[in-house]
Amino acid sequence: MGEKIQANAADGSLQCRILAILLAMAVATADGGLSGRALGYVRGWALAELDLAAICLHSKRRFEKSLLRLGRLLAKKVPIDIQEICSQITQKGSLADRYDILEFCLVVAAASGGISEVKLLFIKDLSTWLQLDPVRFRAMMEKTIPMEAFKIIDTTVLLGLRPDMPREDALHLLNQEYAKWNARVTNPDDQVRSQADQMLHLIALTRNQYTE
Amino acid sequence: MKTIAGIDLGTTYSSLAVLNTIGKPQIVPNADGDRIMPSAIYFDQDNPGVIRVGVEALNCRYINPDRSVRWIKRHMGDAGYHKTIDGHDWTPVELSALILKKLKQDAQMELGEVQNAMISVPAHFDEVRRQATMDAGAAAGLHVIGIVNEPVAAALFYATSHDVCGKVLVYDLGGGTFDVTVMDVRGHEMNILCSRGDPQLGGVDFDQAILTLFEQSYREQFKSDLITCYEDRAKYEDEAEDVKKTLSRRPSAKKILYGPAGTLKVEISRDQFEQAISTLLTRTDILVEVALDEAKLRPANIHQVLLVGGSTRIPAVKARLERTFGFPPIAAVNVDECVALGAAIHAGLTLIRERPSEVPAGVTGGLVDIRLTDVCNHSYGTLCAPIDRETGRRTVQNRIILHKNTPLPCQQTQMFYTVRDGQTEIEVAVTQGEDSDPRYVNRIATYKFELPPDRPAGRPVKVTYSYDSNQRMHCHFEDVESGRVLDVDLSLDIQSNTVAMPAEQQAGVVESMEIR
Repeated sequence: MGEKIQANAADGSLQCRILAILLAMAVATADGGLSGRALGYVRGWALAELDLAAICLHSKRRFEKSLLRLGRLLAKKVPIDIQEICSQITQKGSLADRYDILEFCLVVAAASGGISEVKLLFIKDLSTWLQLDPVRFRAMMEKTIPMEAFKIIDTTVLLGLRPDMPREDALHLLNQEYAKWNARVTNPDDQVRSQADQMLHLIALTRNQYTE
Repeated sequence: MKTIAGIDLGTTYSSLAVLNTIGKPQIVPNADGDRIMPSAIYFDQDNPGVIRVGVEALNCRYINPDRSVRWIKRHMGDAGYHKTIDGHDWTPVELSALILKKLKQDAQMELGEVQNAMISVPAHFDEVRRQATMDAGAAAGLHVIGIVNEPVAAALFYATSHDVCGKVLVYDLGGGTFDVTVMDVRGHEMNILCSRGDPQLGGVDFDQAILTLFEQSYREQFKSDLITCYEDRAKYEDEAEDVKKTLSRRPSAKKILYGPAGTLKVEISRDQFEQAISTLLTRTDILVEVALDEAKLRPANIHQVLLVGGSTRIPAVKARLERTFGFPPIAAVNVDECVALGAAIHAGLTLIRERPSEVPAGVTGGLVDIRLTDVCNHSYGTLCAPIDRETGRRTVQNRIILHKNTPLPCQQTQMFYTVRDGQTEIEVAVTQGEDSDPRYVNRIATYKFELPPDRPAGRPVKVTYSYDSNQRMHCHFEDVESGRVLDVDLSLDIQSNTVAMPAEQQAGVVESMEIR
């Protein structure tokens, strides 16, 4: 496995994917624990993205053990320079790679027992450090993380509201968000419908804070 | 004489109106003498084959809530929903057909044969739900001459009974759905500018808010749950509705809750109620603003606000609208009836245009010929795979061809290109929705369009969507080089794609049941 990765290490995209595993594990352990679901997802992603499906069982087990060890270290808050990792990814990978990595991290976040304040902050930092468009980042969040996974309601992430936004702009943005989610309430997918219901409720509650 | 009818098939109540001999719309009371009938169904356990519809069904549901159905309109068009009774899976179309059949049956006792009918639907209903409503009408033995948007029907009624002119906003808050429509009325011309709506916002949600207040009060007093079974829930839902109605007339309402831990007398004030529903009312405020934005208007540009639907009796609704627009909204004598009355007018006008020989002279002479221009209620598009400018990747996207609020009739064309060398077919999808992300739009139909072989990528395919005044959509796909075409009449296709049982079979099921 090691040989194969080294052999292809010149490929910037591959290097990015290896670094992505580190980021995803950092996301998964941001709250101090490591869920089996998140670990399983990282493992599956790594095997597919690093083209390791064909390696022998023994190598697979070694890889899994390494992942677990990494998770334990990260959960104990071993210092790791996430910003530097993101900087390397930004230098070596394409924009498409970076979006893929962020999406991977979001799925891992959702699979690791909900989005706490710490985890949300971590994800927001990742998006900034990977130099991604905030609007696309929000769209990716909406698509990847169900509403009920959020342990904290952050209207900046969920609705795009900024604390310094003038009242009129905030109300206009809320209306736009409402129109967007309102068009999704008849979606055939139950999950989308449920998310739309929850978002409409959240938008109305948020608006009340501006108008009452 | 054939009767021309308009039917308001509502979430909580339904009603039927007809045009009288001089073309004036009139509500036809049902067999119980009521002008509106609860949209409730009860499958009689003791008399299999007998179905109770209306107030009797409402009263029976405490006996066995499992055999009762309410608010079926909220499931209209939902292919996954059914109610299983005595081994038969009742679809929303069939259940709605039972309500329509009861309305028809009762009206026929008074008027003779009722056949031609216009059925109203919320403006925000999509193609699938509209088609399901038409199917329900056909299954009930009606000849459905068309579907009319509820706010449009109500506006037609107001326009013929009140002095309506200028930029008009119709605020339709019914039992289960909310619609806001902005229109421009000039003399006998009525141009719809835009519509917005919420299929899950209406009186039943306000009832739930009161039910929650009941439950909270009871838990505070007895540290015990008020509702422990479906029968209790059915009972208290009706009690909550009763309290809501009382609070529209009085500042407070009292109820006695006979819960399992003891009896509690509760008093709910109007303030408490308004607080409990404030988030729901905020949602209507937002949709009003969104609709005004889409119509490129501000509240100061609106000349009149028309109220439709029983939930507009809530004083807070009127107060909010007065605060927003600076003048009081206009309410008909009975806001529950104006949709059915307007639907009857629309039925008459449609028949005069399409089959004038079937309309009695008195009716033709009595109807004010209002010319109506409606708009596309949704955006329609197709899926394509353009290259993302930012990432350089090919991604599947929804591309809108016909935009929401385009005046009808309309037609739009866009050019698309094949993506692979040697591509011999395209899966063309007709979508409905505003998003560019395919996950968030409804694929209402999908077809295979075969192309000639051995051609390089980048061959043009012209896609044309058109929408006629009768709300029928047509899609035309054309391979420009070969001239091959695929033509699709969407309303027919939706029927064949979404209805689990053929219309004749559904009609047979409904026909075979005795409705009381």
